[in-house]
Amino acid sequence: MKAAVILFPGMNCENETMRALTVSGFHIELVRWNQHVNLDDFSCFVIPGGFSYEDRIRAGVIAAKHPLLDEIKKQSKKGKPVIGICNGAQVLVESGLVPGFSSSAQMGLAPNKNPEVNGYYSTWVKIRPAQQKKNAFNRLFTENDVIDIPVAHGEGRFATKEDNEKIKNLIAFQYCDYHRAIDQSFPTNPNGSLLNIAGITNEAGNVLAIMPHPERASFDKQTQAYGFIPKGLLFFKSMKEYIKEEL
Amino acid sequence: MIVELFVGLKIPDTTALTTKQTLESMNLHVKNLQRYDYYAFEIRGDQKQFEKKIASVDVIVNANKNIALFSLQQKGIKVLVKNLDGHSESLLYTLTERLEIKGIVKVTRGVVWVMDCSKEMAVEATTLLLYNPNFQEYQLL
Repeated sequence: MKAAVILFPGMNCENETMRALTVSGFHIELVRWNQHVNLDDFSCFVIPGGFSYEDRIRAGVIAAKHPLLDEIKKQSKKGKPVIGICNGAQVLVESGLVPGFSSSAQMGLAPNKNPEVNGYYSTWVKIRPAQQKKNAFNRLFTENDVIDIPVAHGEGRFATKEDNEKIKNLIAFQYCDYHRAIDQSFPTNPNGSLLNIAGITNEAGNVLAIMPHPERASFDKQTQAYGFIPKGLLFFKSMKEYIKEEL
Repeated sequence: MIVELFVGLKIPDTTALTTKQTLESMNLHVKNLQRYDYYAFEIRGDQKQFEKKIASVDVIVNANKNIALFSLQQKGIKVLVKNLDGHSESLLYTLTERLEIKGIVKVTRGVVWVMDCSKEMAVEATTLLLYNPNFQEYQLL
């Protein structure tokens, strides 16, 4: 099972992302924005975090207009999973792939609203799988899971002009407190995100834009200093299960 | 009273260059494109004195690389893009509390794009690339 890690200039989380994918059982290939590669060869696509094109104009928007995203859109229509992490999430949202109601951006990742820190904010947060049908990324999580996971971004506040009811059904992961409660205030919600959205899918459930970094919460060495259990690999292993079962 | 400040770059503006290239890849051929950071200060007091003072505040204008203008005379279609909640509490705090500049009531921030092209193309470039309607707004100046 082959996963493509898509790299645009300025992204910087590809190494830890590839490590997490390898341990999850994928063969991986780094696909740079300027390479000509047949995407039919891959079972899934991962767009990692970083600062593509130095966040010029808005985070993720330049990469979102790159022809490679059109190719990834075509692959996603075949049901193949696509996950965008942090800057990758910003790319997917700006490209319209998530939530995917039309070809233009139906959501945005606005600057954080945080009463303590202005701009870039980096910390550990808790998220939980939302009460949503199974998608390509949540199938190995249980209803009672609380996932300790890092965030590191300046523009991570999911915002939309769409009807919230339409969006609600697509929420995959939400910021929560220790007891899994959805508290909209800081610090449970670290950026003021609408409906505490940490990750949201398209309607088919095979494309996920997630702001926290699962690849940074995948191994004991990443979490043990904080006393957390690493659950990040479950995102990637879920993707593998989905590919086995659905494609 | 509102004082508008436009802060441009004396050095090459890589963001403007990338934006122009991206627009070209989208078949929107803008002859020239410039970008200015935009600030609108709601103030009480003497406008001229305030303008002199604010143009020398290095958190806004770094004299080594920036130019500060209080009106934009450049040729082209000017589009202001702001976040829907574009007022900046943190900058207001820095200016009034840390730098002790008196008389500022409110600060609004944004970006002004100056495009040498038709109005229709400027609007298309704005709606397709320069702003995201889910958390931003734009206006033609």
